[in-house]
Amino acid sequence: MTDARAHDALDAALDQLVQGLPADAPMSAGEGLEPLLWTARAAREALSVEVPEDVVRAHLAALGEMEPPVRSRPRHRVAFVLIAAAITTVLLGGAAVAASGSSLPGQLLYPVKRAVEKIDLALHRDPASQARLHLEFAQRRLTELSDLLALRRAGETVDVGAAMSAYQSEVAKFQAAIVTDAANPGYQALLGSVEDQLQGHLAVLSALRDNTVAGPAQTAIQNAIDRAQTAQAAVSKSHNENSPSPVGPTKPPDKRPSTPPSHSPSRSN
Amino acid sequence: MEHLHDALARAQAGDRDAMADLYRAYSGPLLAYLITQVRRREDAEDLLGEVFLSAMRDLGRFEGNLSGFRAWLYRIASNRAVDLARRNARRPEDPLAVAVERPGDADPAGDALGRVDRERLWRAVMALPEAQRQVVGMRLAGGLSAPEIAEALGKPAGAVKALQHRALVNLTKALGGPYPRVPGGRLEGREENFD
Repeated sequence: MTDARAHDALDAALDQLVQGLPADAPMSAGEGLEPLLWTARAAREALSVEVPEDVVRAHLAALGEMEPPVRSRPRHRVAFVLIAAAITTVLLGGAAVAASGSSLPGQLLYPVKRAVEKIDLALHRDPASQARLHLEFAQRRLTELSDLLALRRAGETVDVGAAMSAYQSEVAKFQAAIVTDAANPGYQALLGSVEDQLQGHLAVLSALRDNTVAGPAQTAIQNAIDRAQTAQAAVSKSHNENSPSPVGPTKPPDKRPSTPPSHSPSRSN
Repeated sequence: MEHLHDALARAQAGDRDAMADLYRAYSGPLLAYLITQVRRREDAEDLLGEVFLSAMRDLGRFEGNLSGFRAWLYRIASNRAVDLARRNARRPEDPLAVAVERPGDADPAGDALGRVDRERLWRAVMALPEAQRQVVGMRLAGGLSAPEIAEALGKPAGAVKALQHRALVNLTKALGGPYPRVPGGRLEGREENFD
């Protein structure tokens, strides 16, 4: 039996096993495979686990407190809105800058959007404002990512990697800007505010990653998650070091909350 | 199975009872899978809640059938397990975090396997290389098909089949040979100690 045929034969027998083949039913998957099936049967039985009742109750209670899911807009409507926005922009001409706000990487007006952001940065020279702006732009990159992934699911070719590189770049610039603001009286308040925002970014990125099949796009999102976590750790450290209250970790580092933050991966700005 | 198709549709429409039905149907196998990935049972239980909350929050965006939903749940679970592993990279590993820890959980399948056997098998699964452990966790603990695992992990179905084959060969070797069957459908335990 060739490797591929053996893999297929074993797989077919495993299908029967996981579908509840009775314990005394014959298990035949071809020459040499039967021992593997006995191991599989024993392992499946050993791996059978029940969720403790208190855990079930806690999880169901948390699910019951959630807002009911909202059906997303149909894909064709997303595409329609984007196309309509593009046409309107062309027709209005002078309103191009305003219209560029909803443009996405790879679209005609996207460079306008980024140029406006650069002007905005040039007009705000103090580090705190620049840090806030970079974080706001990073949030925009996340929104763009969400829209790009919607287009991708609709069959369009999009460059998720470039969008995520832009996100990471904004987070890096944010981090550089905030370091230079340490002497500012409002530094502590700024740190607290951006910590929450970064937590929101991480929740959005995690949700987007979960909705993306493994591949280059998911890797790009994972890299962005790593970058955001690095920034969050740095901000958190600064916050703790500069806090007037007794220094200590704000959260146990090795324990996750049993409920995730309530951020949605949908548009948030 | 039909009621779960219906539950998925109702859950997408915002029916909380349907969400609870999906939780009850899939939480046990998913918890077993998570334990194989994160090793500590309490971490796995926390992640289980996160996985369902995350899935239910985004259910309105999910497009697919029940099989796709299962694959999606395991993809989320796999991602959450990776997140946790990254955060806990420096934490000492506790390989004994298996289902036998809690009274009442030890043998839900009718005591066909003895405690020693269960621990042997868990340890053998935990000792598998990561990719094989992930596939075994989804296949044998989760009951997913090879195409569902392929969808969850973004791997070709052929690669999944090859991984599960290698994993079972390794498991059989680690256990010292296949588990023989004894009359009455029970699996013969091997009562030697191993620690």
